[in-house]
Amino acid sequence: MLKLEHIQKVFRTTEVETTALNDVSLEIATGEFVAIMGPSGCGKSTLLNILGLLDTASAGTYRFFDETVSSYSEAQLTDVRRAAIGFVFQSFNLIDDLSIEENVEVALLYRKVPPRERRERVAAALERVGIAHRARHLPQQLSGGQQQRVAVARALVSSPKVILADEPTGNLDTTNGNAVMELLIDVAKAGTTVVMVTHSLTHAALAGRTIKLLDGRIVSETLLAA
Amino acid sequence: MFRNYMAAALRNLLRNKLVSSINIAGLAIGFAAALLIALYLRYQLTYEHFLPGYDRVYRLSLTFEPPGSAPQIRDSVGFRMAEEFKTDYPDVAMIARASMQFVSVRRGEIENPEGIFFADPDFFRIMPFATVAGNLATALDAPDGLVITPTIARRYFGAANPLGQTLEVERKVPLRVLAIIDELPGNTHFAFRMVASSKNRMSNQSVVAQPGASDWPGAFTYFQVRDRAALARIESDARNFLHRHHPDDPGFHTTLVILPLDQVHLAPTGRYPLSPGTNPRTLWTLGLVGLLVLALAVVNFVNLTTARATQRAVEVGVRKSAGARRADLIAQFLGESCLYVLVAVVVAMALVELALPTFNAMLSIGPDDQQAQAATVSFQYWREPMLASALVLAALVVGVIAGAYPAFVMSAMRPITALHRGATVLASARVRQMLVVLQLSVLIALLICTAAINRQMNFSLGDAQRIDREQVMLLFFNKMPSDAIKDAILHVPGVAGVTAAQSAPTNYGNAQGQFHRPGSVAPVGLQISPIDYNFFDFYRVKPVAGRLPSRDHGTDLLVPGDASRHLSVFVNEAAVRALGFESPAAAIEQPIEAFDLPFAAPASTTVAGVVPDIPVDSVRTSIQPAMYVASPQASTLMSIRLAGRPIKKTEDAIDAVWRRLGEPTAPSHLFLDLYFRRMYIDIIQQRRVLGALCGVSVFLSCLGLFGLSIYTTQRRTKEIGIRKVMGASTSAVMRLLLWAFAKPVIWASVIAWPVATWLMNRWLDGFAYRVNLGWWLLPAASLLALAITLITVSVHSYLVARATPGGALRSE
Repeated sequence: MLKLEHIQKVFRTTEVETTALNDVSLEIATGEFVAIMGPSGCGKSTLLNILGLLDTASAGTYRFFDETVSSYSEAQLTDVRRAAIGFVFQSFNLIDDLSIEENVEVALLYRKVPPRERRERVAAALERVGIAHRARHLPQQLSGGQQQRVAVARALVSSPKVILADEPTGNLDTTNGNAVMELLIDVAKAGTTVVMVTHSLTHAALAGRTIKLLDGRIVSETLLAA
Repeated sequence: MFRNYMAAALRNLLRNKLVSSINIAGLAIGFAAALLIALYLRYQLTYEHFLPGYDRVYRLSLTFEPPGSAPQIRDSVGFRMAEEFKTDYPDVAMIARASMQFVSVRRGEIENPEGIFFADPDFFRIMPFATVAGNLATALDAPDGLVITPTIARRYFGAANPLGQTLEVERKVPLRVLAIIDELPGNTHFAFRMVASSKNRMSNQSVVAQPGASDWPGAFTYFQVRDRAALARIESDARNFLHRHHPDDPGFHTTLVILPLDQVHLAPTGRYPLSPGTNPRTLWTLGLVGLLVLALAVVNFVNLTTARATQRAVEVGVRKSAGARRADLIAQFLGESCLYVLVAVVVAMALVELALPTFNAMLSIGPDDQQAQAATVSFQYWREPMLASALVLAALVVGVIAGAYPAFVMSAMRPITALHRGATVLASARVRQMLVVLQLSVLIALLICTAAINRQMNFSLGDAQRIDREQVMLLFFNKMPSDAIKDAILHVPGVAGVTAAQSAPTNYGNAQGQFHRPGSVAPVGLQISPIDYNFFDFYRVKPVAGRLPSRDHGTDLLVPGDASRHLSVFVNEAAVRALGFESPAAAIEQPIEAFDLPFAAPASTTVAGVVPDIPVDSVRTSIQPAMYVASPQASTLMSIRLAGRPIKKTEDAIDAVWRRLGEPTAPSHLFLDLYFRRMYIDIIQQRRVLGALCGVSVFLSCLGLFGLSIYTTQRRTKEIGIRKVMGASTSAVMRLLLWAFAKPVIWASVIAWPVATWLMNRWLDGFAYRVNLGWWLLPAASLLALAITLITVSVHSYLVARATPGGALRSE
């Protein structure tokens, strides 16, 4: 279970102070598929980054399953991230210089998975997202939809407890967007917690719960029938 | 994991082929240049190390302090000193004297002038040169024993075995070849190809040993101590030794100098050295310049690596969100940059291998020199674990510095910051700005140093010489040349003029006398140079005051032994100062009194003319006060100026005259230019090396700036697009891009000017006769650096500036 209590995130520059998240409290159950919506600049991505331990909150408490991670050091956060979280980004964030299978393998590299097992798991993940035939290609040789499927494979391959997806369909056409959503739904059905930031009402409707943010606060939550 | 890192590193390398090759090639060239300099320095600092037991061998030399002039060093000592030294110091295991004598050597039809090194039997027992054949240790025990090198063997015996064969010296004395030694390496102060036994009656040693013969300081004397601790005991008694055996001449002060064999070459050389020495200060300067070139290459490499690293911010972000620890990324980026550096080192090693023959040719006097051995700088990394380890260590250090930005700065970023490229670009831009300033500072400093060093070297080899040495051939006589041969040579087609002197125009000969002005008691030691009447005219030296020697003035001729005559002499400016005249003009027609002359003093002596100071031995030592006297009968060295005909033809015609009218041996001649190149080989070497280094540094700067301009324009593509949409012209965009590179030149000048000025003034202080640094060199160097920068970056800037704004914005 992910539990945020009174989370605040303030960005400071020399002259300006911007509150990105203001007193956000939220609980996400294990295996839940949650969509976060809201206009640009409302704090969606910031919330996702804090949930994914890519960023830390300025105030408040975050319990990641049984651990209170809000006071963790960068090294401890890295350990938690490595053990339990997978990411899917809007701009795919594949490493240009690595092939598709090598990109997916990155998620296993730091978990001390033996090479042979790595190869098998990478092949299985690519098979699962239907991109196994392009395993040796470089990212720039693939279409946007294919690249995002690779990104999903990378998030899946380590069998994380949580997958965080930041506008995973934002750069894709409808067909490719739907294909990626299907993948995420499958993942959630298999018991993985999925939190997704999206602008698309259609895609949000596929999640179990939708949280709406405005100016750094949660303004509504819609629970959809499973 | 390693495979994944390697894949990322290599593909990144291949994706940016141009910049990658610029980056690695630049570093490789920098490494190669620095490696060559390091090898050259090692070569210079390991003279005589090829001789087993060199560290127990020492050489004796003397320093005289004649009254009124600077101390003079003499690399050789009196012939009788060796025996006295051995008797006084039981710690001396062996001592051997050697003396170079120029003679004619003949075998059948082949006859050539050669230098033979007559050495005592212990010479090769003290210094066991590598032997090709024969028994070297005993070769000099026999009075007719001769040791030769393969060059001499080929010259006189062709393919036949020379062992036991005979060579005839001066057409009368047979010498037997008893051993053949390897060719001498370049880094030895010895310069011989034939060594004969001092027991031979022809040797100077034998001549001095004759009853009643006078001794003179012509023996290069080497000794071996039983153990190195003994040297301190000997040195502490050296002053007493001289007092015991050679009480000071009145007014003179003499010091015995004991030099370790491997330091002989680095010590200031004296009169008539076996080979020119090297000034350690110049070596350190070269080392420093080599380091600067390496620094330039490293700064380039670091700069381009840092620029490229910013393109990999996403990779950092992705790896960190996948759970990579900071240590993982540090290892990845450091490993990667070390790998690139190692590739550069391998390329550099190949470059050095390729460049070594050219480099050695650059260090040698020239193919026309039959006497001095060629430079033998070598690179045997497979045999030298120290060298190989030093290279790997250097690669690792440079690798760590180059990888520092991505490894330590980017790896510390939070994943979300790294994924947001802008921040990394901004942070690294500042680092790169500083590196560009540093790189340009090095370039400007190098330009200033090279120009200053070149100016001094041009001065040393040109203006400072004060004589016209173009196309002058020196012809050596054993006794005074007759008027007939002089006249015959003068009439050879292609001969423009002839003169004679006792020694080359850059040497005084051995005579020295003491003088003072009437009324003054302090004596002044003057070098005495016998010359022919037209000596100064021949060398196009104009008098500073008074006149030059002439047959029209009867008092100009020195008649040795005639104490009733008046003598007109000619002195140099140093003598004018030493004698205390206010100016050269003030010395004219003034009397000076002579005593302690090597010939009977004339009844009276007056100064008839003052000539400029002509550097003697080297421009590094101050010019001694000298006196020139017209004495054609003592002038055994003929100078012949050639003009207007192929040199070989004139040379053959002169040889024919020699055979008809000269001495009964092979003619011995030498071009004055070659003589100069031998004397100044170290300066010539260093000028060539510095010139090459400067060229390399300019090339490296161009490479670096070009690579950087690619990144800068890439980074500013969006800005350029926006500016063009807003109506900026191609030239306005060009100005913007070029200014970004012009600005650092100003900052770089602020750093480079004071550093280079300080450094060069210190270097120039090492010369007795030096040029001024020249303040204009500073802005000139900066302007040149600016021009180099602008020309280099303008190509790429122009291509980017004229691109359509739509394309520029889209690519962003």
